[in-house]
Amino acid sequence: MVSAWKAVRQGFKLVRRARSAVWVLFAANMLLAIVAGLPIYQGILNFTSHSMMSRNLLTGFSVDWFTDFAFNNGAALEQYAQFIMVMGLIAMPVNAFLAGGVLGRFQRLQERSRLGTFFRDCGRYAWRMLWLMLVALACYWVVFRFVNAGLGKLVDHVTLYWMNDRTAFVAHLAVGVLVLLSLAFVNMVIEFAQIRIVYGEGSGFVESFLASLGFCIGRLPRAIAVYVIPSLGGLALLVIYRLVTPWHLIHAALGDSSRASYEAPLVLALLFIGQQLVMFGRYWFRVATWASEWSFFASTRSPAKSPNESGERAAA
Amino acid sequence: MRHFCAVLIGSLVACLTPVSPIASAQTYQSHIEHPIVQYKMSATLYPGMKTIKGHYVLTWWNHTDDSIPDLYFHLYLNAFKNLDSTFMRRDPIAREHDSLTDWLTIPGQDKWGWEQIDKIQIVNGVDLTPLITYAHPDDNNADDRTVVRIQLPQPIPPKGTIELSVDFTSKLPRAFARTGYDGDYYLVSQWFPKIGVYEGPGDRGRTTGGWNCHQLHRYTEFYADYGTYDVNLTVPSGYIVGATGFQRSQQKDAGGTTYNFYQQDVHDFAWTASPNFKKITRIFDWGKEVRGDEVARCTEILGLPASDIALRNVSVTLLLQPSHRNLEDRYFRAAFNGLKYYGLRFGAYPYDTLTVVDPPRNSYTSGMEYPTLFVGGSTFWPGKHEFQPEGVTVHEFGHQFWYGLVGNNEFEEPWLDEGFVTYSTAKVLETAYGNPCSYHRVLGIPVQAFSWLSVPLPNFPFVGVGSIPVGTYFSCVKLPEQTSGRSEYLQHATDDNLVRNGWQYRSRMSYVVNSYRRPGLSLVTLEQYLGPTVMARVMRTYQQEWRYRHPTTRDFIDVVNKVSGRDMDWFFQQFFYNSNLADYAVASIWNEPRYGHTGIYDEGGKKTYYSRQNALREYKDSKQKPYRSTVTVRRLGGASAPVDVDVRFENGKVVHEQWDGKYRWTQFTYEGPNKVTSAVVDPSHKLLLDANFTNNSRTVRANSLFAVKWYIRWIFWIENLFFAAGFFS
Repeated sequence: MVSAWKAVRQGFKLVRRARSAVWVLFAANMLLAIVAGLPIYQGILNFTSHSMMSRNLLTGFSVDWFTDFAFNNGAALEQYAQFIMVMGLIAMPVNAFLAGGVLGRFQRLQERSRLGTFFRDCGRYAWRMLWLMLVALACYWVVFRFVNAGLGKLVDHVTLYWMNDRTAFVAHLAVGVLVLLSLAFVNMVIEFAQIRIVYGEGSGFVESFLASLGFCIGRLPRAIAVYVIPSLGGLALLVIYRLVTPWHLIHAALGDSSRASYEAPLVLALLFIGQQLVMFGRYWFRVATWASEWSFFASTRSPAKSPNESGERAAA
Repeated sequence: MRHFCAVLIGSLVACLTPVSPIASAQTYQSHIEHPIVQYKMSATLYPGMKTIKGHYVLTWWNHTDDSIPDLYFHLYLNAFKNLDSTFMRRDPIAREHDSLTDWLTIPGQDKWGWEQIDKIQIVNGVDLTPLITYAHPDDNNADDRTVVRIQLPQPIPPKGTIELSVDFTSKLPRAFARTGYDGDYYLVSQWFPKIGVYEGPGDRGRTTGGWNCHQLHRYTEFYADYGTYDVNLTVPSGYIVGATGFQRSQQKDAGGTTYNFYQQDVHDFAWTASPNFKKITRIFDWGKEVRGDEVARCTEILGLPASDIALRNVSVTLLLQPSHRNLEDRYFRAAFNGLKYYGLRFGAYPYDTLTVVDPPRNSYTSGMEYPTLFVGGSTFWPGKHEFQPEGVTVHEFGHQFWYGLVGNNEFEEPWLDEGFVTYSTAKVLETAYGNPCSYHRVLGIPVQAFSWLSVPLPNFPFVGVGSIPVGTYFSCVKLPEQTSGRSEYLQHATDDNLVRNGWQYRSRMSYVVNSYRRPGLSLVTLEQYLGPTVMARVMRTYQQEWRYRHPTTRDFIDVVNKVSGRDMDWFFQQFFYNSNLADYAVASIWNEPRYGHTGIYDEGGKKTYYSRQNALREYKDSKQKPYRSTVTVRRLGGASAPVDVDVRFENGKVVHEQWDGKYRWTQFTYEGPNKVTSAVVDPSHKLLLDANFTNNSRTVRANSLFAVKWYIRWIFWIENLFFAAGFFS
């Protein structure tokens, strides 16, 4: 069994050879996001395009406009939120489906990357990945029902008449932290279960989930390390984006009518490219997390079985 | 010359300061020639029973020319006696989740509160106790016990006086409606049998005399006459006490410690006690707090001599929760800002003392005002950009002016204090602190600040400690305090007229909107129509003319008309006695080529024909191509008000138009070589009550770039959302 640090380094090497998987994940989710945001685009365009308020929105945000839009468009905001939620519900099985292809790529590093192979792997593991997704959702429900709601309600009850709001806050904060840790633990277990399936161990999703649970508990510190270290890389990208995006320069460029007519669209194009680079980076770290977990898992096992063999076992 | 004036005014301030006594001594001189009520009271708190036993002698003066055959008293605490009181009944206005819903789940009988008159008699005269009957003038609820009537054996003659001796017992409720106890913390308000207000013909617009003594409803507040309170309070030694008025003495014996508080010219007396308070007193020294240039600015705006702008020194006491020691300076600074800016605008705070109470968590007593005492409220972590505890402190302090000094009837016209305080608080906060964080960007999405932590997840971890404003540490969108209520206003604007009995609004939110948000916005709109200087003079005049009196909406309108020299009745008719929304829009802009003659014209006694083709050709060949431009402006809402319209042409020229705004639409037509490129109705947003600012302007050319920018941002954040969802799978 390798150290967590070594597994992470191996994971980052692996992901360099599985770039195509990153591209597929990135493109699929971008497409879903473009569709999910379309009604909002059309809604605000129709409501505002002939108003001078559009200038305020180009160079910033107007609370007055937001009030106008929310009040004069009935349930539009709710409909947009519902549509995004529906697209999010679609995104979950789509990502579960693609997980098989990504992890399958780690099995085939010696082979040339082909889309056909990628999607064949997706199809090969699809049902088990989808069942695992449902197991994950059931686990989330348990966390929210018993830790967030159950324990939260108990803490509410116990602290109701505490006059000191500092101690009450700490008690509530502890529940919040526990909820977040529980969710992260569920994620980690599910990912190792996905790896087990593709690695060729175990035939069913239930067996994979339970074995993965035992695997994670038995090697908790290292499992957490290989899960958390690359994941934090993706979060760090988001933080960097929040810190360095020069919104004041962007807004100045967009609001300056004396500039050439192509400049504003160019600025927006650059913004879009910049944001998508961040997203690509996040997916890169996402795949790196899987790869690190894969390396760690592999180091505890004999060499992986071939995909055909594991597929045959699954079919049997 | 200007410098000389500043120096002169500065010197005047310096001269005034030394003669203003430090408010560690009782210096208040009554402004009321003949107080209607004079209470001389003694009360003892029994913490084990959560009960107060008290006795008072009330001297009540009949200020009218009526002979009064009976007396009415409020027994407010009986609102918390059982579920059949009018307060507790689930009438339409109360059919919403509030603190009562949680309160009802508390087990045991200790939480209930009640109040009774043990004995009432005329001093050296008849025992009136057997003559007590319950009255329910608002809703005929025979089970309500919050008002009693006492038939007198002999009527009180015009300008006569009656002296009553009253023994009473008050059982305090577990606090949930801003009175009662929470552990060993007590906020004792509306706690003794309190005489109603007898209004003679002419008082508050009445044509015939009668008692104004309403039952306590869920969302109404109070109404009482001005007078003198001389109160001895006995509490267990070790309790720290704060109360209305000036503390004249403190005496300890075996039964506890007795404090004497005294105040003239107030219409209520409230107090608080707890062994846990941290008591800090500082002096508001107006000579140090107010700069000479600020006085000069006020004299200029208000048209008053500097001597009239002078404030008073006030002894400010803060009763702080031990876990809130980090808020001490912020509470004091907020109270001092209130004393300063309210004083400069509306006249000096006249009393010697001010007590600010910081309530414990979950006590449901925060944000309430009483004469010379109010309750603030904050979490221990007030946030970087939040106005907490500043917002509630300045607001509740504002009630010292609107409710305290100008004593409107809060039952019947709640807007007259809450609306004025909303308007005035916004002014003070903006002057002292700038704009607040009204919206936060959460992952790029603007979310209203107050709803940021009200995420509808079960037991969201932070809810149990109130709104810890974590969001403000990430990002905020600042918005002028004056317009912060527009969203709520629009959602409930058509529910009710603004001027209405407090218990007759359609819903709790309608009460909130029509008492706070809507009048706040309406008064700012009024200011936009009158101008800031005139409005400042209106407010000052109204405050000064109606101090220690009971005005109505009509009285305020009369002051507006008198000071502004304009008839503004239309404004109040549209926006105070009506529930219509205002919405003006630029509906269309048409630019049509103005061709030459086309058709048949009488010229030189004969009919001449001009062909269309010829006209088109001539237009094409001409250097100056004239256009006929038509701008159509519509009134989409029910309410109307005069509005300005700005029309911009392609050469940059702007034409200013005016429209009385009465009919449903109007058109402006222009002919000339330049096309109209855009038009704006109400360009300066005078009419803050407009339901849609976005349609106030229209450009000929559509702009889609802004939508692309937001689309790009949304795509990014939706991708991040899906990224998180992807982890779940």
